[in-house]
Amino acid sequence: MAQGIVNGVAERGLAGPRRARYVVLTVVVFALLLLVPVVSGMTARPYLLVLASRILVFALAAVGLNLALGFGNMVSFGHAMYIGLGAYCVAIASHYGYDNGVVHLALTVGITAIVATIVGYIVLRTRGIAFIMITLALAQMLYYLALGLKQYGGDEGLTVHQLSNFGALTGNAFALYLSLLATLGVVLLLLARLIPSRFGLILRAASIDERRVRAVGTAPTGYRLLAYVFSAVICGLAGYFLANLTSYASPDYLNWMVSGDLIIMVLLGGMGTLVGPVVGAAAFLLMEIGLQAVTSHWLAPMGVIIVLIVLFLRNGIWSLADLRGRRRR
Amino acid sequence: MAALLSIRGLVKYYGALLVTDHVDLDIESGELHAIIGPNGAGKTTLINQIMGEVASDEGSITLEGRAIDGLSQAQRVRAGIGRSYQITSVIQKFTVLENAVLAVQGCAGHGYRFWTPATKTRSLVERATAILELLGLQDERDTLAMALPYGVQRQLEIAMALAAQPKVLLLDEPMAGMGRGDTGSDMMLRLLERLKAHYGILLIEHDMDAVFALADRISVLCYGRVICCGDADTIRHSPEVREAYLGDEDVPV
Repeated sequence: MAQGIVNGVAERGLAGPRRARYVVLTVVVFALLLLVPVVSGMTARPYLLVLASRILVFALAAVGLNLALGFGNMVSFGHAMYIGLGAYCVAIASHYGYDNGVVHLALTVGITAIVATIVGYIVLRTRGIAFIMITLALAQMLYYLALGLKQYGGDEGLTVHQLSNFGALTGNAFALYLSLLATLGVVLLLLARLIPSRFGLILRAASIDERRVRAVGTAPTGYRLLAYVFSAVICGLAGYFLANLTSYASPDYLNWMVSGDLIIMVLLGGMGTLVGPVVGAAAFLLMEIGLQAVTSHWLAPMGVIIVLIVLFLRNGIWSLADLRGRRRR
Repeated sequence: MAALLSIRGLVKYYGALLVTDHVDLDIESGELHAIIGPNGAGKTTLINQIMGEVASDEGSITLEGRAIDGLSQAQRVRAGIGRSYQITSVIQKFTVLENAVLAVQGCAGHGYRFWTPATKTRSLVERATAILELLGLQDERDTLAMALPYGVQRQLEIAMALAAQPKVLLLDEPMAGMGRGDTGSDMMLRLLERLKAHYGILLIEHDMDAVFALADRISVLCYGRVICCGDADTIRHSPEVREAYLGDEDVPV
């Protein structure tokens, strides 16, 4: 855990050229992502855009989880529940005939924020393993709730008949992709302000030594709770986009395995770094697809690769940009 | 006149073990009150109780005549009690300035500010810098705490306690881990001498030379009980202290 924080701090505290390198790399990542719709359109391969959209959905969710996990040291094993909540907000609103996109967004943000506040209030009374288990338990409760709600499809999920309505742009794959990319960009820019802010300073300090934060006269719980809620809302937004991407809300979105995948994406990309989780999500999903094409036993090699990456690049793929820092350690 | 910090009948049990046994203690403004005692005498527990990190079973604590028993730790810090830890607890992965800003912001309103970088918030940085300058740490402001020599980390620890603008300082073995005659311990000794004039200080320290040189009053804690309280001479010549704390050895002078 601490490793990731070191990296996050290092990334921020970097002087001149090394900091510039991270900025350049971030621009490169976004330029590549902007190229996807162009390539997909020119080569008439729409599935490329769908794949890239899926990557962006999970990148957004991983960035959200990373705020709690990487910067707040809150190991949430239940963030899939917020993806699911976002997706069901869209699907259930549509089910009742409300298809206004702005309403969908407002519902997603509002409901994930409310649920996260309640859940956060409970789970933040615990630390360590207890925190992991109780987030998992609460997320699983919501999963079984989704399974049990027969009027909303139960275990079959709920088809979104009317996608979030944004006039002429509704259902346009390019518009969806670009709005996903814009959302991810805005979230990253906001986080880039948040992490070094007073709020971020307290959050990061509390993640390392809570007692120390209390000893300077700051009660850290409120800061951790708010970070948890922010993190959940970002995942909720990812769920909103996922429902629009797949025209579907499924209980599977809330499954604990999705929460686990998110943690792996964060670890893979670089916990406690800003852009690392984006890279981690892309690496995870591309690896999954690539290995599935080769073998039906794709989980085995994927596990080995992930273990190797996490073992040898302890600060994740994103830290490859900082070779000098790695050698020093 | 009421003392700056006044402790009456403080009690703490860990299970059946009585670790703080009806302790009465006063700290006057501008006074350095040292607590000495063998290992396990309950010195750190006492500080933890004053700080509110450990809940007391009985007794009361007043700061400037106002009872603070109902306050949380963070509230006590804001009320004017600062502490340093025996085990260095500066945030290792923060720079010196970030550590100082963290400490300063604790008493500067709420920290729900999401936009401006903390280390560029002028009011915070000005006060943090002033404190770093007071301790001669200004040249290290951009160094990560983990890269500092141990003695300097101890000073940063004190700086963080000062940043909250306390009235009372509780210093838990500020010289722990420094050898006698080290430059670090010399610096710390001079620092404590300077601080004495401005704060009421409760000092726990094993370095007897330092204690006898600095303390206006010394309390000897043994099995959670204050067995003797007085100035350096009284303590030196107290047969009880000699027996309980120093054994047969001569009192170091």
